Amino acid sequence: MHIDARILDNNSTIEGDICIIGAGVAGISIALEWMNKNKKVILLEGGGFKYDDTVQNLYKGTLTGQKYYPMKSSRIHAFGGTSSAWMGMCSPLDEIDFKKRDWINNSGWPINRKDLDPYYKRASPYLDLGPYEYDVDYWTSKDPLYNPFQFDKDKIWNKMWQWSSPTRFGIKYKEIIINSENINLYTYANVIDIKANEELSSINEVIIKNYANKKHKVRAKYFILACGAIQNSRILLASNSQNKNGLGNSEDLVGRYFMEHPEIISGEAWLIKPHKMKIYGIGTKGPQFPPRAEIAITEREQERLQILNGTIRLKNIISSRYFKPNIETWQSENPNENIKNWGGKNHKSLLGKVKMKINNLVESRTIGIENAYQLYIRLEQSPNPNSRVKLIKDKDSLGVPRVNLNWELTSLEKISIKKIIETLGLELGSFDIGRVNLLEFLRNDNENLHPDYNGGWHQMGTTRMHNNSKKGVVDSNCKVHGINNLFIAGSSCFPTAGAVNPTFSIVAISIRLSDYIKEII
Amino acid sequence: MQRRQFIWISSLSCLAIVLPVSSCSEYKSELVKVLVLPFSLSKILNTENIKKVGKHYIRNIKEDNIDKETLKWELLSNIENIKNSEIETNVIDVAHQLIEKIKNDFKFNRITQLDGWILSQTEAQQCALLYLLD
Repeated sequence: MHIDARILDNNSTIEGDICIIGAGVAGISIALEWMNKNKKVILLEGGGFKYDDTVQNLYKGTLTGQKYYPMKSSRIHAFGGTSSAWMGMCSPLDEIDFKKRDWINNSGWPINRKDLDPYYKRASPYLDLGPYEYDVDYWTSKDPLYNPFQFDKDKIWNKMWQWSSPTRFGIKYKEIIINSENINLYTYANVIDIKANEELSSINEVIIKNYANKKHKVRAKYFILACGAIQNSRILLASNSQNKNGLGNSEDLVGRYFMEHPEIISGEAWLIKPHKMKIYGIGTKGPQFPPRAEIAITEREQERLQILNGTIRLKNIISSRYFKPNIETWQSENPNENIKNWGGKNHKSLLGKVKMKINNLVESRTIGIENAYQLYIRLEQSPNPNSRVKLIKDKDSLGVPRVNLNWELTSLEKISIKKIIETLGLELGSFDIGRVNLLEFLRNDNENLHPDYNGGWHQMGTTRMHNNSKKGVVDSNCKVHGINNLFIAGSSCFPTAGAVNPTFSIVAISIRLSDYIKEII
Repeated sequence: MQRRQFIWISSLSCLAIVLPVSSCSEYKSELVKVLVLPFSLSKILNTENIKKVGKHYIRNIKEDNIDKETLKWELLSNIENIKNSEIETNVIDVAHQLIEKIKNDFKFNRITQLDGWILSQTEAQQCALLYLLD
């Protein structure tokens, strides 16, 4: 069932068993798990089915620290969430991502990879993925053109990604949700406040509002916040009428440990002779690309080098060299304008391309550029409490304080990038496959001087998971510490970021949370 | 003539073409041609850039008296099982051993970074020798 909250009588009260706040990938995944169960599920979406600039404007905020995408356009405020713009890359977190690592402060999850494997498997069909197989040997057995580099297995491995179609949750699951008897979708239902009991140990209701000036109450036995890392923390912090620090925030952790994936071209690899590169995605076409490998560093080597996790994607130099970085082109507050400027228009003019061709011919290097590749790194961010989301005085049109995002990195990120590229350089050299050239920003010794990294639009960590209430906002079941019926779904619960696009893990964790609620309800 | 020998001699002949014409008599020595040719790196960088790398190497090392002879001696000190008197006539073996040395340099982290390039110490020395000879 679908109801537009703008046309409800003002001050309506909506009641159900479970209230899911946010209809992006996490919220819709949970709703789908509850279809045809004998419980009434309320699914709240702040926007509508299409982009609405008035609603999108609610996401506006300020930025400090590392350059980042505008707050207004770094996520989509509509049914389906940011799945309306994602590229579809999926891979599970690595085992090391869940481990406590002595060289990385605040690392470690209270669950491990094996706990999530069954949920990754269940998440795969939601994302239109193939079989839950991420071993490179499986995929090389399927395609004789898949020819991964053979490195020292103690140092480097080939990590596999699969591509979603990419599934647009707002399109694929709209009719299913609307036609479901027990899922009640309310659009234009922005949560502006969460009301707890006097002891702040249980949530009584949430207040929703929209720009038609309609305000309503939603009551349920269980509430699940599923609005993404920035908005989840914002809602908790802004629900401060009963406690000035907000809800679930007795330890001042809500909003902290914001993580992204610093992504950047870090070097070039020049091969001595041609190599079949299909497995690395070279020469393949989308929108649903075939499975692809990226070069990753083993656990053992990460520990030896004391670095963060990261992977290297190989990109053909000729086609990639003249593309502008995303952090430069995705700077409009209108996400639709950014999408138009991205991809095919994200490069210099035709004249620029011609100049590039001429330059290549007269370049002082040996002809062989067809066997040269850019090294595009995607790096785990070190959990940093100073990288955070916090409220500011400015309020949106619904009266909710906006937020400032301070994206802050440490020296470990730059050190890790350099060591990862160097490791590849050593391996390419020792097997006489090629040579690596580091880009300029890695040639100086200033570990705290960061360039403008691309983010992946992967916002994580602001309500991190830990079984100790002094170290986390949610426990291993994603329940907010101290509040018996409030849960959080999605990447805001990640204590560490890994080096993978988070959507696959978001759906897996959401399904796991859904199963837990089914046990206790 | 075996195929491998043919390939090697052809490669050395090609080197004779790509090296700049010079009145320096040292270029005429087959051994020197092998010493100044970092075999794999020369498939990626042309002579000009190899010399540029060599120049970086000379600037970066702290020894005051680095010269052609010192570099030649250092490169040849890695050669095994060939008498000094026979080195000039066993150029192909010398070349093979240098290639293996370079691979081992990478394996055992005997590397250097010059102009952004992650290179073996041995091939960096070869680049430096080419720079000095020119």
